[in-house]
Amino acid sequence: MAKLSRWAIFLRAFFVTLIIGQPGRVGSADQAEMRDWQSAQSAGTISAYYDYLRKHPAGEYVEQALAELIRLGALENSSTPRSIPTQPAPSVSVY
Amino acid sequence: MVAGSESTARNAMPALRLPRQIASVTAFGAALLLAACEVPANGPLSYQPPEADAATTVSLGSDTLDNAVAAVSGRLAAAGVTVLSAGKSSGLIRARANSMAFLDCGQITQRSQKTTARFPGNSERAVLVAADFPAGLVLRELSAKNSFDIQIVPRDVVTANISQSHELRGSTGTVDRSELLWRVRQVVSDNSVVTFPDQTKCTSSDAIATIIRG
Repeated sequence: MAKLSRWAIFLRAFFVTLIIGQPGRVGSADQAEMRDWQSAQSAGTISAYYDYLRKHPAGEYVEQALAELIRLGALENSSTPRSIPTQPAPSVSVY
Repeated sequence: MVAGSESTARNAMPALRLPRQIASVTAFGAALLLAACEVPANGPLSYQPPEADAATTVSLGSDTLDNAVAAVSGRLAAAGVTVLSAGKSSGLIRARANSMAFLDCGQITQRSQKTTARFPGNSERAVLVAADFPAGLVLRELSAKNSFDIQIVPRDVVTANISQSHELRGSTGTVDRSELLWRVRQVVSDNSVVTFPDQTKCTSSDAIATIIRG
């Protein structure tokens, strides 16, 4: 009986943690995004804004993050080419 | 006797707690490990196409045509949809909006420097990591002009027949918008599916039916 109870506790804790632990959940995403944005703002560096954009590609503060990157000269200092290839890239592969 | 029983029960508690705690901690660890596991994908971007099958008919229960037209018009307006006309005798409601919420474009997953981010394909603005581009990023933008014809049909059960059309504009370019990689205009009608140059797809979502249901 005690063994059964321990299994019930294990399964309950497992599934609750699994559900909460999944990335991209709406409930916690907003708070996490706000935290990441505030962190990027406090640091005020190019890498901090890149970090925010990597974590929140379609986030609430994308426009502001891009404006900050442009203001900080991320585009001018980029060593990457400015020419745009004719073939559309990057493409999103379907799985 | 009673006191003895209490004492026994109290003494037994710590022995029972330990395995439960172990079970919880083990479950917590196992779940975290499983949640952290990602399905391997080719490249930094992967895509889950839309699965929406937008409803074309919504049941409104038993009501008069007049009341049903007024109710549906009210629900549309409350949701921010502009009602152009609402024929109380014809039952035809024409409406429009400017929102990507009426489209389902699947889900994009981006992996970059050990960070995994998932976002809806219908996001009006998204920044994608692209090493070959200025700043190592490209900006993907989408917008839509939505048109709806909703015909209320007075039968035993009043129904709303939905016809929807979306003029979609999409583009991808440098983050300062100085150079374009691609820009397209596509039209989605009801359950048709359009494909963008980056191979993402869009179709009508069920959002208008959800609003009409109230």
